[in-house]
Amino acid sequence: MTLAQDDAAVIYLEGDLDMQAEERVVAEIESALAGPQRDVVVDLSAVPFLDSSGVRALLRGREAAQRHGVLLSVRNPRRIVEEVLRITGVAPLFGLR
Amino acid sequence: MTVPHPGAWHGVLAELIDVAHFVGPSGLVGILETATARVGLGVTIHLVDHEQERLRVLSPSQDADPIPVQASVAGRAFMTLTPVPSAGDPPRLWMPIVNGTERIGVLEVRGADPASPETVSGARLLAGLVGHLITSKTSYGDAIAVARRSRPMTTAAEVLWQLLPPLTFATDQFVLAAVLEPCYEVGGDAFDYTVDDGLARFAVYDGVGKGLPAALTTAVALGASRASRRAGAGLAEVAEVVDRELKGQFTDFRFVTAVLAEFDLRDGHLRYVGAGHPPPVLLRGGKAVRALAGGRRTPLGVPGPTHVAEERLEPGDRILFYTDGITEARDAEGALFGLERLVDLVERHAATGLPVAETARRISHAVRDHQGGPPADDATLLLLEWSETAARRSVP
Repeated sequence: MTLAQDDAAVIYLEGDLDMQAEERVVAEIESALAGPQRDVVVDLSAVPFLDSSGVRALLRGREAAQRHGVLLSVRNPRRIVEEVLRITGVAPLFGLR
Repeated sequence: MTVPHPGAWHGVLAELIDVAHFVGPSGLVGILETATARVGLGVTIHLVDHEQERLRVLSPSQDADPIPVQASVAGRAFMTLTPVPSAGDPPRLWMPIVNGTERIGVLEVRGADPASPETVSGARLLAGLVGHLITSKTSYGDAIAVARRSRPMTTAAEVLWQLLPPLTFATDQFVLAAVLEPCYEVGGDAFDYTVDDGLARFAVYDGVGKGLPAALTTAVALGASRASRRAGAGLAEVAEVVDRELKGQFTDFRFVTAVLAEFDLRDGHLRYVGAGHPPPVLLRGGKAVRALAGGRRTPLGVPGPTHVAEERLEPGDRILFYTDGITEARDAEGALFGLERLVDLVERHAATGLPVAETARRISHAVRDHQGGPPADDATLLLLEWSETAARRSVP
């Protein structure tokens, strides 16, 4: 589900972000990018699990955003998901401090 | 029972060395049987399978039932790396077969008093030569490779195993042992090591995804690491070369998480880079003291600044490297195996005095038992111990 909020499109992901979900997530990010030019925020509050394929999906989304000249960031990760983003060293790439 | 004269054992060794030139994997048993029968001995080679669960007879017919490693006399010899005699008819001596410190299987010896020191020392020499012969002959045919399998391998696993060094290596100062599961379907996990002039360099890799795409991704990372290392690159430069090669080869954001490390065996100086990988755990005095969480950067293939972290080890220290397939293994109720359980197991095994390779095997099997079968994801464990005592325990 994608909602426009202020100047950003917010994508609310649901369910595990793993190999099965990778293509669907990339497609959702790309369809959000196809709309009016604005930054994309991926909300992870309803994602209980994220593995390296999930990280890859977000990296692919980030690259697609860069091609459109906008930023992709991530917000509201659960503790376990945030830990994966930190261990894999990609948290700063998605605006997580 | 006859006790072959010590010279008889040497005669067997000499004959084997002489005739082995023209023999491939399927001819090995024949020359061994001929040479030992001349001095009244009977021998059987039992090879451990890839999952290190059963010992399988290397023979043209392969019809003998495999022996479970756990709960057998042969298995005890394998696990503890000590010769074990067994009474019965005929009495037997079970002598571990290693190549270097890589555990290959067990040599069963009949026809000599298994309790006599001459038999033990003769069988140790013979098993030593058999270990070298098995290793040097393996690649010339499929007989040994087939004998070690309980089932067929996937293409990904076949590709990956060809790229990996043996599971165990030791010098007189340190031991390193790894286990990689699920061994017949493994994809993106890998480990690597080299030891030259007192400097051990090693790495653990985990390529994103599963199966053949993951294996090919990891193959590029391994190849790039080795090529740049052998061209003189340091840790940070190796990471940058792998970044470049992955980005150059694949356009679909494949990456490999890794820990790249160098350990100076002369002064205990450890340097490492953690590229998006779970941090290794340092164990001192048998207890986990901290995670080696320095040197963090993005995974290989996602270029970012590379910092090298440093640590000073003390004699007796252990370092545990693992991939997330270990800690994220789930039981039927969905409970994770977890880092705490992993560290607890390593701590408990540290006190047993078992060979490091055996500790690694048992932990890997604990992960498998937790899941009720081989792991769904690749699960790798690499354990390093800087200790002369541990080194001495790695050979029969």
